[in-house]
Amino acid sequence: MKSKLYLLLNILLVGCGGSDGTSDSVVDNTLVLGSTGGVATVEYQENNGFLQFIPDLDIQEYNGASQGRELFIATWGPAPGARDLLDGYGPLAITDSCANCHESSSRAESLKSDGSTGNGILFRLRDIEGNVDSMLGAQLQTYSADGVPEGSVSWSEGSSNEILFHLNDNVNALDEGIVLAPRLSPQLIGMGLLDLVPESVILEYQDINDTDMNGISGRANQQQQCIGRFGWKAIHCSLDGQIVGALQQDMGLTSTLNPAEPCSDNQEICNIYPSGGDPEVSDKSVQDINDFLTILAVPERRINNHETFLAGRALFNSTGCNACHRETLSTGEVERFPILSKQTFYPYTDLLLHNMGPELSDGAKESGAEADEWRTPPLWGLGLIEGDEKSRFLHDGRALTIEQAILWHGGESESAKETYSQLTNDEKDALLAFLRAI
Amino acid sequence: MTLQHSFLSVCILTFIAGCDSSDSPASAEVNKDTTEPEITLSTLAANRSIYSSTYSINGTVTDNQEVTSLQLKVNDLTKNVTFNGGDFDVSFVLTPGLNNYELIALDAAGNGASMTDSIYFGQQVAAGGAHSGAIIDGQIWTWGRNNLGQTGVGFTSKLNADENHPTTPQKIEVLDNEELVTFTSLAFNQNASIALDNEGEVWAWGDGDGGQLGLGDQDSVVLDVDYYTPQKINALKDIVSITRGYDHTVALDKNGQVFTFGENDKGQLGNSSNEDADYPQLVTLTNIVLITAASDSTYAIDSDGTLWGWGENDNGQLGQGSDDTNDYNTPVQIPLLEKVISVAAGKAHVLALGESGKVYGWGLNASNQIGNTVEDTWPDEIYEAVELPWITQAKAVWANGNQSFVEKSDQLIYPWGFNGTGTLGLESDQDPISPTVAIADLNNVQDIAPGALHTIALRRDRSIFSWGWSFEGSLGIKEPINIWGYTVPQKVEFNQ
Repeated sequence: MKSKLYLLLNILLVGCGGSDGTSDSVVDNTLVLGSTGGVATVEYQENNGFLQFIPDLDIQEYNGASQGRELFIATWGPAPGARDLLDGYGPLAITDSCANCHESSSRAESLKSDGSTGNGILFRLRDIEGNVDSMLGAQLQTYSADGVPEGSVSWSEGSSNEILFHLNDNVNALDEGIVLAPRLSPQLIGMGLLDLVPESVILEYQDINDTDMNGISGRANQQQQCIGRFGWKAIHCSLDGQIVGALQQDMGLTSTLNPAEPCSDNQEICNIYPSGGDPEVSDKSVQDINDFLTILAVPERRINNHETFLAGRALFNSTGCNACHRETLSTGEVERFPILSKQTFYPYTDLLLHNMGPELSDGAKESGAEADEWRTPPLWGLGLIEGDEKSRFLHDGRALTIEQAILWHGGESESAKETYSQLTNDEKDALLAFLRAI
Repeated sequence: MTLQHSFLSVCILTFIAGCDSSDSPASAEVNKDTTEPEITLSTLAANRSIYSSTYSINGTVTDNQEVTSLQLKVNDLTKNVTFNGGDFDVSFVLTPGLNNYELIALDAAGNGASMTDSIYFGQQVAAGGAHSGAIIDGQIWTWGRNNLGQTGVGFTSKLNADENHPTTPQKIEVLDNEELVTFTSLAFNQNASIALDNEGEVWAWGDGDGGQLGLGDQDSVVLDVDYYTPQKINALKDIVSITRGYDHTVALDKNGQVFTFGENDKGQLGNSSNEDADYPQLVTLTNIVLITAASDSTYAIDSDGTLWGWGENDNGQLGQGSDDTNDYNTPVQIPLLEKVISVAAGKAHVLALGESGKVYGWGLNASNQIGNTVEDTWPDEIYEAVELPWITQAKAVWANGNQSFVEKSDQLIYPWGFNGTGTLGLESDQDPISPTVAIADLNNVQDIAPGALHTIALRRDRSIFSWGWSFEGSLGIKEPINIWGYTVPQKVEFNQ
């Protein structure tokens, strides 16, 4: 796992002229980019590519990452279990292991070819006003300890190639207006770096009223009295928040921050089945999982042709993609992992909410984010999962390729999408090569 | 690898006055040689553990004029070291525990240079079936499985049943005539434990089956009592090294004699008998410098670098060219192509480190603990020593169970063999067939103790790490997941 960081780009930029149908004028040959994750960058390995630790981190500085790794990959069981530490699963849940939804080298399967849905996608239950289902609560749990889950979801393709989701096997009909709001599970890259970005850095790009008149009006989700940064709707402000949210809603595990099981007031099952402790996941365990996720390194760029890469980057900027997919963010001072202090990295996200138009609206408002508002997802590592046939893109998995994902963009990104559409094939190839390399 | 070091001046110079006058007339003093000799050692031990009672160093000593003398000071002894063309090669006897040594070179003008290093003779960490230990500042700390009192805390216990179960490290203070005993070495295996103190006396505790604690009398009854605290073995004196098989114990004294006790069904005591013994048995070997043991066989290196073995040969672990069920209850020589400086044994496989830095293996290979090719051409049992092609310039080897570890010249630890329980510390569920991937970020290792399925490592900064099979607190960590394999090494905390 140990390998030296490389600054690939700073040695190969001299004398690169434009080709591949691109104009010399858009290529900045003096450009020097840092490593994708700053010091937290690692040479990509095909196996366990998303499960590599920061190379220059001394083993003394792992903190609780060893334990966190085990808690992350472990299969949790209902209480009382043979292992105290790993019980408390359910009684309502989606799956029994973090690793079932976040794989070590790809994305978990979401839309299966037989029309069913897999661990790589879950469903919020909301209406356009943000109300949750009175019986099933805010999220559909597909596992129940009593053998009667809240339902299952199948999918089909609509007339415009959109994805239609169908609730099956449900005992209770959803409240009027409540929809299945799909959320694809991401690959876990650089979660620690994103967690360590000071709020002030995120707010640098906020432009709620589009005062710069560029058509882009990013806003921070401040529903929780803090700056949201994780999740498709930026509903979690911190990695801890993201972790305990997933433990609660996806695995039925309580924590100090989320002490309740994922039952609505109208569901009795959480009062019937035994608890795995109070809370079921200790503060130490949450910290250990956080440590594990924080020291996961970001794969270095995979650049086949540097000239094309730079041309693609120039097009990424000139088409306006970078207005939301902010190239760099930086961390502040980090006490627990000093090595991560003051790192500049390349996630290609501003962590802000943007209006993506009716094309991508799912009819569900969630925790301060409107139905058509989505947090800019990071783009790093996309090329590593595109080749996997089970990988899909966008919140509902409707895109099978990166290019399809671009072409589904709407709302504030309509203009960028149109500009992309007008590029020559060579230019599109260069831009896609750039995206696959980052 | 050659390591250059800064050289410390020694205060033996005699020309202090009158040498610094820049306007003095040209004289012999102006041209006086003030350049110190340079000493280069091929390897720095830097406190690392070795298990041999002798240690060899080699290197070069040079000077712009002429080196007139090279001396070695170790443990209050001083000896002159010969050097030919600047090259030197010298061996010296270690005392158990930390050995500081210094090389001092002088040239004709009286300029001096010295360099110091240190090496630890003994095992500073230990791992048995599922219990573990470490020596910190001369005191024993233990943790883990305690069903037979093998942690020495004074009682038996189970993780889920007893509040006082030693899940995290416990300090085991041992008194002898009301004096606190200081320890230098530990040897755990399976469910028994032994420790060597700085007076050359041996202490034993845990599972007493087969007399393996050595606490019996010279009578016909084998004492097989379990002891929950360290007990001194009165029959052993002047011991410098200890080791354990699965159910037998081995000790080496300062005269190079080997003593054994415990189970003897395979002849592992090497005393021409197959009767268990609870009292130390003398093995008919002399000038032994290193001892180790597999499950039911025993190995010893003599001062000539010859390797001897006895006991079980069911899997060819005695390297005699075949396997058989004979009980080799007296030592046989194990043929090797060069002198051996260290040997490690697992359940039934053996790794020998030659003086060239090459490593040889033989015995059981069912988990590829000796090694294999991607074409799977190496058999499940290897009957005579084969050179392992993946290793050159090895610094140390370790083994237990069906797993192996080697420290290569890059000072990283490369494991191979059985990995089903995280035993090898690799981000993989597979059994690596050769030592080609290092344990991530585990550098500067001073000592390693492979247990049955878990592993303990000591680093130069004195931090201790554990990984592998977590059972009954074997890893010494807070809130352990029981019956679980940990892949990533984690630090063991000692609350002094």
